[in-house]
Amino acid sequence: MKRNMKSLVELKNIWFRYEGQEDYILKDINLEIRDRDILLLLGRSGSGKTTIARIITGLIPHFYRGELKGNVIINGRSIVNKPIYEIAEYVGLIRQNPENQILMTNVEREIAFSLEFLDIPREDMRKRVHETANKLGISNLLSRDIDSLSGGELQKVAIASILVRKPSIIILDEPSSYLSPSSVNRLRQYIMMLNSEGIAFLIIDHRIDYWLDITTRIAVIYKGKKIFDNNLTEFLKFIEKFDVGLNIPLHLRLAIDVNKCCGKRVLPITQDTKKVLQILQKGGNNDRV
Amino acid sequence: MIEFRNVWFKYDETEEYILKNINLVIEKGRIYSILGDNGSGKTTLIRHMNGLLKPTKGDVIVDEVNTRDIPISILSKKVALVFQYPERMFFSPTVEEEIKYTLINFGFEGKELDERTDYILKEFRLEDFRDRAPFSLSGGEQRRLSIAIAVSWDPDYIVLDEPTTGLDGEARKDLTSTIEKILNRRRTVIIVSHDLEYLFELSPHVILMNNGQIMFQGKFGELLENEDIVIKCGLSMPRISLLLHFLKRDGNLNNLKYNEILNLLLDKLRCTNYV
Ligand SMILES: Nc1ncnc2c1ncn2[C@@H]1O[C@H](COP(=O)(O)OP(=O)(O)OP(=O)(O)O)[C@@H](O)[C@H]1O
Ligand SMILES: Nc1ncnc2c1ncn2[C@@H]1O[C@H](COP(=O)(O)OP(=O)(O)O)[C@@H](O)[C@H]1O
Ligand SMILES: [Mg+2]
Ligand SMILES: [Mg+2]
Repeated sequence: MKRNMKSLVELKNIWFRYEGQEDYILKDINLEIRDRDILLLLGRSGSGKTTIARIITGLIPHFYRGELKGNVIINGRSIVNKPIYEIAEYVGLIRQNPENQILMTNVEREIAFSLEFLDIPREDMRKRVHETANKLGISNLLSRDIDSLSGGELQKVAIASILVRKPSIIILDEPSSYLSPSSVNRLRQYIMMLNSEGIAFLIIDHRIDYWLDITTRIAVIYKGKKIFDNNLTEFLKFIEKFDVGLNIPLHLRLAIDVNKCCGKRVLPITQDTKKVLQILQKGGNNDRV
Repeated sequence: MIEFRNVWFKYDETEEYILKNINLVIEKGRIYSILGDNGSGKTTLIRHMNGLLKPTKGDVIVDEVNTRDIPISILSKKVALVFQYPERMFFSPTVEEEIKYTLINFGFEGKELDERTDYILKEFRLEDFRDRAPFSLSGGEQRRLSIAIAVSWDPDYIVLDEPTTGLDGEARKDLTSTIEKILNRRRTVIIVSHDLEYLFELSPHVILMNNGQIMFQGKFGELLENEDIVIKCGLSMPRISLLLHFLKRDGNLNNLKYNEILNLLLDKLRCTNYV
């Protein structure tokens, strides 16, 4: 697959603080989402990830008060003075708390609602709703009241209601929070499918293990600044050197700690645990890295 | 002790049962984890523990009292429940008042009230947010606040519905040490979770739910031996478990705590000449 380097979203020198705050939450952030990216945005809680999502989607400055400096460019056009519905055409946001985005009382209507404005025939609409529900494993919930859903079911509905619209950029803010691993697997497969159809993703999540194998890039925010932005290989080197409070999966943490204790690279920092196992079975890594 | 005796439950007269013949004993001073796929009935199960829900059939007995015979207001002092969506319980204008409201509710006053509030703010690293509106906190900060409130009056049973949601690496470690402190005071902790990685440090007794039934009960380590059941119930094995099985093959791995795994591994590597 040819990767087009066209930039879909560009944050340029973004500074932001919420009303009443002295310090800036974001300090000179530059961030790019390119065509076909699956960008993983990481950072401690409170580091400003959701704030970045709010800026890209125009919720800041339209719904949250504060001071915003810098430029936000989507599809080559600055959105700073654009109304929010124009932005929503390109960017879909699944919010951290799914309750915040639910509008209807019935599951099928909730998922269909975001298609209402797209001017597509009823029958196609129904088809798309059912296809999305099927992909996320919630077909059996379509007739249910939103109020009667379990925590994870509610989150899946919130996710479905954005994915169904297929905007060209989709932001998921902590999508795995309430999902079981098997639900995440379904979601991940659906994301990969949509991505191959040309949709770019920005994923914010503390369970990084779910996403490492499908990301094209990883960015890390720390104390309001972007301190890392590169691919998985570089990220694995980065976490070996710096501890910035991320939730590092145990198999990586173990390899990092072993190497630290030994004062040299005994185990590789890799997602491929089988490789680690082989090295252990041989009794350690012979060749220096 | 919390006891479920042949508990059946459905929300709606016409629908099928959500809990199907649950029998369960939660003993004092121990830690339990309730695991299972989305919709398997975890939240429904724990809502029975403080009387929020009453069984359609069967009984739930908390410290020898049937939950049908005691008002929720009294029971919820003994059994604290932190909801899956913590934002649902906030309503005070500031973080400090949110904590104080609960404490006052449970009989704290005067100097004791202030001291307790300060202690909780400090313990959960919420001092900087004292005057902020709970709703303006980030997701992980809100989660910390909801847990702080639930343990603030030192209840006998603490039930946490997916407490690691929104927590970063540091906050997870903090939560673990908070839970360890609670256990040292001989309190009982019940955690609903999807995250087997998180549970390593706590090694709880696990209760695995599937479609309203208990599929498996036993030690955390035993669960990891049963990959089939884990997968069948919608969970996944932590990648590290591949290494655990290796470590176990010619050693004895009774305790799965991270530091012990690390030490075992280091020992093993030192046996060779490479380290
Ligand atoms: N108020 C309600 N009315 C009808 N059905 C409900 C109600 N609340 C939950 N259910 C259904 O009961 C089942 C169990 O729900 P429960 O909330 O206990 O699941 P859970 O194991 O906590 O799931 P999750 O991991 O998604 O939070 C689900 O199928 C859910 O849709
Ligand atoms: N509506 C708001 N008003 C004031 N402060 C806020 C608001 N939302 C978030 N914050 C603060 O901004 C910082 C960044 O928050 P957020 O972007 O939600 O973090 P993250 O998503 O990385 O956890 C946090 O300190 C949080 O308390
Ligand atoms: Mg957030
Ligand atoms: Mg639940």
